[in-house]
Formats: sequence, structure tokens, C-alpha cells
Amino acid sequence: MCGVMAMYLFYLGYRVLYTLNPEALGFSLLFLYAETHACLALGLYFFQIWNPMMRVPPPVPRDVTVDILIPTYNEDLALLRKTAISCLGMPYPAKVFFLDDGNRWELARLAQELGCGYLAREERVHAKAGNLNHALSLTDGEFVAVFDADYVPHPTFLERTLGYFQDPNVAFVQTPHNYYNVDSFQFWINSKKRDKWNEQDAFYRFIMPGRDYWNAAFFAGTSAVLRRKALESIGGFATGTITEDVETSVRLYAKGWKGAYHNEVLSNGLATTDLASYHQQKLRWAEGNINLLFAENPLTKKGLTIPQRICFFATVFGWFVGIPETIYFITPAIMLLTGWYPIDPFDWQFLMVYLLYLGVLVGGFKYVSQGYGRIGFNNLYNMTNFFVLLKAVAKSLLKRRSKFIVTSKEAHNSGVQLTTILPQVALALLCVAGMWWGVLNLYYGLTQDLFVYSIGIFWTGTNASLAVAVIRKTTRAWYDRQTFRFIGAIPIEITNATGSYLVVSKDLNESGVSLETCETLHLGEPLALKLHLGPNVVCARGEVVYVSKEESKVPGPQALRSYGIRFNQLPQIDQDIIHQFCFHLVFPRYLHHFARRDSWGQGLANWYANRGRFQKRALRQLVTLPCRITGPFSFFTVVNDLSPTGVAFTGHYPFEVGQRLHIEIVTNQGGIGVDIDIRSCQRIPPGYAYLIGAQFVEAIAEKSHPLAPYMHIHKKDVLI
Amino acid sequence: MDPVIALLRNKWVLLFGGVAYLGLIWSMFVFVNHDEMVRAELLRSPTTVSQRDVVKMYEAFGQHDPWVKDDVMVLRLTEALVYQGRVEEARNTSQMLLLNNPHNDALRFQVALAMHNGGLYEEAETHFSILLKERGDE
Repeated sequence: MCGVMAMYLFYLGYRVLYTLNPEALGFSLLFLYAETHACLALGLYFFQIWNPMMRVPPPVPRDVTVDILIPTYNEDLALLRKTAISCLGMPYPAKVFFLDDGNRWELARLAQELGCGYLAREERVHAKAGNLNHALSLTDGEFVAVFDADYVPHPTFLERTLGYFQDPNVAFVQTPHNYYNVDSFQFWINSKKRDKWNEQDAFYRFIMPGRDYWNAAFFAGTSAVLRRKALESIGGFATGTITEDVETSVRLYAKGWKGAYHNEVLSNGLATTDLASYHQQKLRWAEGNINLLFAENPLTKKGLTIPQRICFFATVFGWFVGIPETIYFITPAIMLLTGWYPIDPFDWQFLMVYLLYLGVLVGGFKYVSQGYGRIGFNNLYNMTNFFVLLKAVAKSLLKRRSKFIVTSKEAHNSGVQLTTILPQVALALLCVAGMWWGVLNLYYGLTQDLFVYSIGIFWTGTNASLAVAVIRKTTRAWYDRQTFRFIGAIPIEITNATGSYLVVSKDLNESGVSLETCETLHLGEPLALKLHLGPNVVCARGEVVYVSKEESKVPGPQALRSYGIRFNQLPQIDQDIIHQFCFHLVFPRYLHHFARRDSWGQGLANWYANRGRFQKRALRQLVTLPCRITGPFSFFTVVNDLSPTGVAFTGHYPFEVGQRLHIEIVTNQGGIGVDIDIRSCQRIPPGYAYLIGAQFVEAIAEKSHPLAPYMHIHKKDVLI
Repeated sequence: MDPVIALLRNKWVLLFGGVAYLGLIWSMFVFVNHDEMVRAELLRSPTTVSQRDVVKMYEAFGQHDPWVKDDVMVLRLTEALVYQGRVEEARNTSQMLLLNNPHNDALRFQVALAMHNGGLYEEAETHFSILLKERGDE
């Protein structure tokens, strides 16, 4: 980190001394400001991630009282039901309260049905913070857990977080925010490369643990537990702000309380699905955080330690990123259009210095960021937000206060409006104009600076491609469904007029399922379905509402086709079972597919250390086949991969290594039963499912074996 | 989907819109940089510059535009004027050029060559004579 900063300072020194352009001094200084801003931001980032902490939760106390508060205003009741059921499903005893600022009788009835408390206010003063403070005055638990309406916690949430409060100075425990609707435009997913990026991941999985080292992690509004006594010591949640969470944290730290950050995903919420809502959310966060400078200035607030001051200043400063990014995005285009050079002379000597600086910066940033530093994605994020962040800075500095607006998480089929992406469209047009202008300058011989113009055109093209990528991503019409379907394979028995079959799902939720089968189904055809959801079995009736046109080849005479099934009048209790299963087993299994893996260097070292084992293991093929395991626990599950020597599948119970079981794998040519020995049992966080590797007692050697053809299929799109 | 967004995502709209946009930028470029483009063309190839542009350049020469201080530019203008048969104008520009650079033999040689190539042999001979005389003096 020190090396990177030293290189950055050397580069800035060189820029100031040798490359300011007196012929376009204002423009040149503006660009230098952007670079200096980025240098300071990088320094603050390095400070925050100096030593990320990975805490192990202390044993949970058994004699404390907890109130779970779910503040709501206008959110969908189905969404609130999911959150409340998950809260009620926690084994640790706690009271659950809906804090309804919308005063809805339907929600009061839902609370009564579920056995939750219902607290409502006459006036919606101070928005969410006021709502929480109102609840604090009416409840008496020693601790309060706060969940936004769309955040569904895991059953172990309280057991993993309450232990930290054994330290009497700990005021709150925050856990990472995570989104489950991975079809939102905020995600960049490449299933084949097992790569998933979301802007929040770096912050919640890396920067927050880093801040925790400095005792400067903050309460982030949801998925946290707070000590009532601590809140009372500062007069409750901070009001008069649109980001009550950060301000509350600053006040707690100033009073001498401590915070703790538990870096484990223990709840999942909804990401905004459309760009307008996303920008609205970003604007609120940015404005709220920048206003912290005026309300509880971390640089001058009494009671904070120096690292806390730096970390909270970094929080505020981070939202000013719109200014340098806008300068970076428009500078090359303006250079090409006007002939003003921000850097002059831009010669080979400067290029050598610049390449050295860039190499050290990129390499160092990636190395210290431990896989979370993704420069390309960060640029896309900045391209998506630069204008909103500029707007937030302008509004904050002009002291034009915004109201707290609840972020909409519903799917909008109408898609994005042109006004929402106008800054990106304008920037793309500016960049194209700049590039074309530069090309014309070179073509007509109006400039002799081929070197500088080539670099300018390349840089402008990069910015244009970023703008186009954002426009393409955000204008794609994806969100046809009102509720998100969880991607995952579960075994399903379907029965129609011709018989019963065991098939595998592709995705599911409480309103429907899509599955793959070689059997022919017709649109509108009624089906009886039996969903094997771990220890539970849900029986449902449904009808075929979608038949894919594409077919996949599988061994045997028939082709595999995808079908969409909609459930008909599924009882509420069964819907609740499906949603619990999706949240606690299907989604963690999906996330595990993208779990962080070793870098290539670590992978190579691992291979060398275990080379004997790797040489012996047969090549595995990804296949998704339903199967039935018979042993101490008998259950239906899905095969993840297959080789001549073994099989891997997902289980809902831990198995001991060496245990012998029987597996019956269902293919389109019938069931094939073999004995297996368990070789590995890997827990999928947070611990409701296991990846089990097993070895066939007798390896499949003959090509005539019914399973042999499956060992030569590559099903690249199937997720395990 | 918003109809404007649907249009934005249509490949034909993008293609024709893109071509039209590039055309518009090109027109603006020509409008803004016309004089510079003419000067650049004059430097590159004096014989291909249009009559209208050469006349405009000569008029600008008369009004002492800043580029008049550029000897190479004036020389190329002289060449263009000679090529287009505008003898009087060529004579004026060459005189001005040589007046500003009385001892620049290379420039005088270039002027003489331009005159000769344009068929103005008498003018060329005069300049060649001066050059030979000066050489003889040395």
C-alpha cells in the first residue's frame, strides 16, 4: 500500500513540475485536481482496509431479550410476510414487530395472523428513524434487531450476532447486506466463469471488516442488532437526516461505545430492479452522507478517535467521486474537440512515467484488495452513477434538503425511461463526436500530433464503451416476473395423464417453477407436482404456461426441453415452506457456486501439494440428474457431477466420511442404483446444505453401463 | 418499454442514426475548420485547391491574416495562383514573399520554379538570373 501511494505521489509531483499546459491552464489544472482527488480517495481506501478483521462470534448468551423491528411504509404485504416468517423462524426467542408508518389494516391483520406485534403512528415524523424511535418507546427488549421490509434473515442470525454483546461496550453488531434478486441490473454474472460482481460486495465483505479493525464499522440501517441502552444514551436513532444509520453510528462512537462487524451473510434483501429507483436510492445515500459534514462532522466531532475520524471522513469523501469521474469521462473528448491538452508535453518520457505509475497502481490495488478490487466493474459503477453523485454534491452544498423516500424494490415492466439514462447517452454522443473529430483532424492534416491524438481517441473510445455498456445493461427488458425466481435444481415428481416422472427444476419460487424433462408436455396441460424440498415435501397442482423452443441433447432417443409451470392456488403454508427453502437452501447453494476461490498462484500451489490426488481423480462432468439416497436418512436430491469413479450431490444432512449409502440415479432410460462411500462433506454457508462427494464402490468401467454416456456430456449452463 | 428506448435498441435505428450523427459532426467540422482545412490542403497539394478557396486565401492574404507570416504557406499560395493562371496575384504574393526574405535564395528558387512550372518563363528567368548573379558575385 505504501509503495503504491509513494508511486502515486511521485507521479503527481512529475505532473505538477513538468506537464501542466500553460496554454490551457484551467483545463490542465482541472484534470490535475481529478488525479489528486483520486489519490486522496485511494489513500483513504488503503487506510480503511489496512487490516480487515474476520471475527469469530462469541458464545451466545441465553438470558437476554430481543425485539425484532421491521419498519415499513408501503411495501408489499407478501414481502413483509416473508421477512416476518423468517424472523419468527429464528430459534432464539424474540418478539417481532411491524412498525407500520402506512397505517394499513391489512398489515395489522397479517401481524395478528402471524403472532407479531403491530405498532403504528398517527404522523410520519422523521420517517424511518422516527418510526424506530417510536417503537423503542413502546418495547422493552434489551436488544433490538432491525430489518428492512425486504430483508429476510437466516434462522441463525441472532445466535451469530448476540454473542458480541458480552462485551458491555458494544453498542451494535452489523452484518453484510446481500441481495437475492440476482437478475437485477446491479449484478454482473458470468456463470461459466463462476464470477459474480455486485457493487455492495466489496464494501460489505472487505471495507467494513477493514473499518472494524479501527472500530469504525457503522450501523447500515438493516441486518443489525443494537443495544437499547446505547441507543437511549444518544436519545435514540438520529433524526433530521435521510441517512439515520451513519449518523447514529457517529453519535454512538462519540459517546465511547464500540461497534462490531460480523462478516457473514445472514440475511438477504432485494436490490432495486430499475435504474430510476436505484438512482433515487444512491441520491439519498449520497446526500445523507455528505450532509454528515454539516450535521456531525467527523473531523471535528468530540469523542471520536483519529482512525474513526479518518474512516468517517472517507465515508463522506467517497460520495464526492462523481466530480473526478465526470472530469475523467469528459476530458479526452473535450481535448479532441478543442485541441486543449490537459497534459503537455505528452511525449515518450511522460508515457514511460505514466505506464510505470499505472502498472504499480493497478497491480497494487488488485493485490491489496484481495479479489474485491475490480477496476473494470468500478468504472462501470462510476459510469452508472456519476451524474447522480454530482447532483447529490450540488444539492448538499446548496443545502437543498431532500425528503426520505422509501426505495421501491418492485419489478417495473415498463423499463427504464430515457431521462434516467440521459447523462450516459449524452456522454456516449460526446465521446463519439470527440473520436470522430479527432479522426477528421488527423485525416485532413490539421494536427501533426498523431501520438497524442491516438491516445485521446483510445481513451475516449474506452469511455464511450463504458457508457454504451451501462445503457445496454440498464435498458434490457428482463424483469417480466413480479417476484424473483431462485435459480437451483431440486427434484420434482410430476404426474400427468401419461404417467409420473422424476425431473429437475431450473428455478422456482412460491408462484411457479421451471423444469427440464425429456417428457413432452403441452401448453395449458394440468399437472400434479410433488416438490422434494429437503426434509419437506410439497404437493401442488399447476399448469404448463411456457414451453421452450430450444432443445438440449442428452443420451437416449429424446431431447431435453424446458417448461414453465405455474402453481394453482397453492396453500399459504406451502408457499411459506417453498420460500423458506429457497432462502435458506437454494439461494446459499447458488451463492456457493460463486464462492471466492484461490488465485491462480494459490491454485497452482494447491495442485502441487495435492498432485497425487489430482492425478488419481477421474474427470468430472457437470450433469443435473434427480436421485434418491438410501441410508440412515432417505431423501431425494440432485446429482451435481459425475465421473467413472464417483458422484457429487447436495444433501441436507451432514454425512460422515467413509459412510456407505445407496444411490439411485434417475436417467431418461430409468433408475440406476449403485453403492457409494462418502469421501467428503462440505458445509455450504450458513449451514443448511452440504456438498457431498462420494466414490462408487465399483467404478464404472464399461462403456455399456447406463451412466457411461452421461460422463461425456458438458452441460455448461447448469448451475450446481 | 419506453418507445424511445425501444428505438435506441433497434439496430437499424442505431445504424442510420449513427451514420447521420457522424455526418452531422463531419459537417460541423468542415464548417468550423474550413479555412484551416484549405490551408492544410494548400500545404499538401496546392494544385488541388479549388479556385474559390484560392481566391479567398488571396483576399485573406491582402488583409494580412496571421498565416501570411508563414513563408511556406505564401509560397504554396503562389504556386496555386500560378497553376490557376492568376499571374498578377502570383506576382504580388511572390513579391511580398521575397520582399520579406530578400536574401533567402532557397525561397527565391522555389518561387522561380513555381513560375517556370506554371509556364511563366519570363518571371522565372528573372528570378533565376538574380540567383545566378548572386552566385557569380560570390
